[in-house]
Amino acid sequence: MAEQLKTPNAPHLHRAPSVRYVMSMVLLALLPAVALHVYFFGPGVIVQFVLAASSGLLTEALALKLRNKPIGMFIGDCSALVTAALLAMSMPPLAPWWLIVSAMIFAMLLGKHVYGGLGFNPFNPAMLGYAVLLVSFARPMTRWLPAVGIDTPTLSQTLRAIFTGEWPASLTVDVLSGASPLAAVKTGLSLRHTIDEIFAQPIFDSFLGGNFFGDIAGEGWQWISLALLLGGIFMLVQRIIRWHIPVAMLLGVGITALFMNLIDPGRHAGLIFHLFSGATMLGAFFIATDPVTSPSSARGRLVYGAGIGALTYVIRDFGNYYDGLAFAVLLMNLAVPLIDKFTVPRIYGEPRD
Amino acid sequence: MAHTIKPGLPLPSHKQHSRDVAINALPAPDVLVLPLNQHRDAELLPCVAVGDAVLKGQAIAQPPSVDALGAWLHSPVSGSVIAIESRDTAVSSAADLSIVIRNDRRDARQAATAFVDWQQSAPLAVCQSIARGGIAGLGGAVFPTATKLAVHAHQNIEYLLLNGVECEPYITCDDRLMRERAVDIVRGAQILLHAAQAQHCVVAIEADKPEALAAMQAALSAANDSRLAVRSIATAYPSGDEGQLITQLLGREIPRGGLPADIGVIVQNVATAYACARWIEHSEPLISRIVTVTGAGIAHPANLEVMLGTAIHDVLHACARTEQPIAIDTIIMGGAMMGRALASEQLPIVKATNCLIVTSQAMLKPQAVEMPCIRCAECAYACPVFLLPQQLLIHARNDNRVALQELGLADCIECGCCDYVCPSNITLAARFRAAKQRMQG
Repeated sequence: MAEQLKTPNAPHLHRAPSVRYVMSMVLLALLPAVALHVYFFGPGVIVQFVLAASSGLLTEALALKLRNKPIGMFIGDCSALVTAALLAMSMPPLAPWWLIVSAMIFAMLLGKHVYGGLGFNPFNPAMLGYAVLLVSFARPMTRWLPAVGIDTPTLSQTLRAIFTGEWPASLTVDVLSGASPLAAVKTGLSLRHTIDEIFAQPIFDSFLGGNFFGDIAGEGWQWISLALLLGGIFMLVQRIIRWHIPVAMLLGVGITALFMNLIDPGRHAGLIFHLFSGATMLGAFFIATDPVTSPSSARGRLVYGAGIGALTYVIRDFGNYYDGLAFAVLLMNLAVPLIDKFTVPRIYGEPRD
Repeated sequence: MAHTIKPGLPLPSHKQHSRDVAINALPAPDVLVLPLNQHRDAELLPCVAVGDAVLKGQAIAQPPSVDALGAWLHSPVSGSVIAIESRDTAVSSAADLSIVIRNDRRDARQAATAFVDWQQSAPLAVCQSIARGGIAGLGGAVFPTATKLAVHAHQNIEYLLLNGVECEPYITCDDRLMRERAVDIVRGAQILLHAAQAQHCVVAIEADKPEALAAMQAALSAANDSRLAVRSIATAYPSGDEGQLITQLLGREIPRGGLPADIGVIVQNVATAYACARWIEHSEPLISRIVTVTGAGIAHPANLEVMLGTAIHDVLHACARTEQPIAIDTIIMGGAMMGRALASEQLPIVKATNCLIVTSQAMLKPQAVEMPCIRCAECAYACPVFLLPQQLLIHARNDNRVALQELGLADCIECGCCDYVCPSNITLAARFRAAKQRMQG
């Protein structure tokens, strides 16, 4: 027996997945949705991810060096890769390279490291970077491709578009206007079309033929959303995330959408449309569940998720932007200290209210 | 509305190494060291002097006043007092006054001092006797049993809960005791019911001990006492905690800052009940206890009946060491979740020593680099008393005492569940213990 016994503090057992494992599982859960993204829109999302990941990791390494922190240990947590993946999923696939690169630099420096790095940032870094781009460069940030009726861009077309700005000739302004379901609904409503008329457009057709399932939330997006839902359920089963935020957020979107749709079905798209279009599923399972920027109690997380859901719907329906998730998340990030203050759990032995 | 508890942590069990090894008595050593601080919140003064001859079972230290209940301390062997001096103990990191006895190997016993008939004696007289028998909580908390029982003088006690839960993943001493000595445990329960003037007794056993459950059930039916019952509870950590056990069995919660007696409950360990029966009915004071010896560094894990004051080194030696490719560098006294890592194996066995785990840091916690908190709140989901450990951590770092008090630092039961589930390897429980001490001091 060694003379010098070690005297660590209790407990002497530990079994928790590392931050690195958690982040890796999040990336894994994103894969089916990424594959569908490539199927519908070409390899743009992969190129965007590579751009975001490399610029993000370089920026993070620089920030850690400036802060005199061990670079390997903190970069190894893979959290920057998750930020990169979420941004890549949120970007139009042919957006110019400098957009996502500047978003990542902004997210890493002003979204994360100025506050002291992972764990201390009040705002979701990916959403901060995204919101800055959306406010500053609204046009390139909303140039989505339709999921049907185009030749999916090849890798070389994608690279040319991203790095030189030269888009394939077939992608004309006509093809691109109202290319995403959320954009189509907003544009259509502003032209006084009814929801039924809007849903008759080709982007709501299904590749399975006719209107089969296509009416749900628009071709392409509904399948990607379904893949994200599956990825989310995978993370729930693997206990990578807890149910409180996703369920509350989906209820927040769902109940507000249902309510408005009941009031005037001609002017407000329904519950299923809002759940399966835009960033609802990405937000519910992958973005709003960011632990660092959400409240610390289960009850607080229900409030937080519901708030994000309701705000997302309100911005979509009444705001100037097609989708509202990024702003909804940032607004609720602002409210986290307040939510934490009012949702301290009852301690064991305290009387129930 | 009845309260419910969280499901608890499913800790991987290590009981299989020692659970099927029968209790075996370890011969008394030549020299025994008995620290005076081995009971919680109870001062003891020596009642022997250096050079005195002592008998086996003779009192060697007692509470400072005659009226104080507390728990006495006895010599486990016959022999002589060779020193009364400050020695390192396993109870705290500071040295403490200890009585050192040399064993003369004659095994001369103190004459019997038992009750003629405890059932005809006043409950308070039984409590006083329990104090003189040196009985203290043998689950590891070592709070004097008599002091706990005497609350019946001014509080009505409905339930006596006997804790045979043993939720710590290595310990099997209570399991073996229930399997081998159930009859005495039941007798002890009847004595405790009388001493506390309680109406019902429930013995709680975790579902991973079916043999102990069967043995206790058999002993209960033989006793034919309608006040006694046995209950199996789900295997989860920390279901053996006093508050968790009460809530699980009775649906009541101990009020914040209060005691179980405030809701008509007293909790005692099964080994404490056994010790009571041995003292009251057989005049054997508490001079030995059962210790589970286990861990990767032990070749023959065992449940040994060890004289108090035996050096831990001798106990480990009896179970044989193993040669491991990695350094065996840690000895934990108590459980792996709440036990204390000892600085030396020369320290003596005390009444609190329910288990010795001999193992290595590399095997317990392979990757222990502390990372920043990512606010994932897994600690809050795991906390059995509904605290927010991540918030407590921030305030403990800043020594913000007002916030610590509001967020219930004092309610922390130091079970370590928060540490166990932390993906950033943050030592939370130890910081909370330190903060509690700062705020008391």
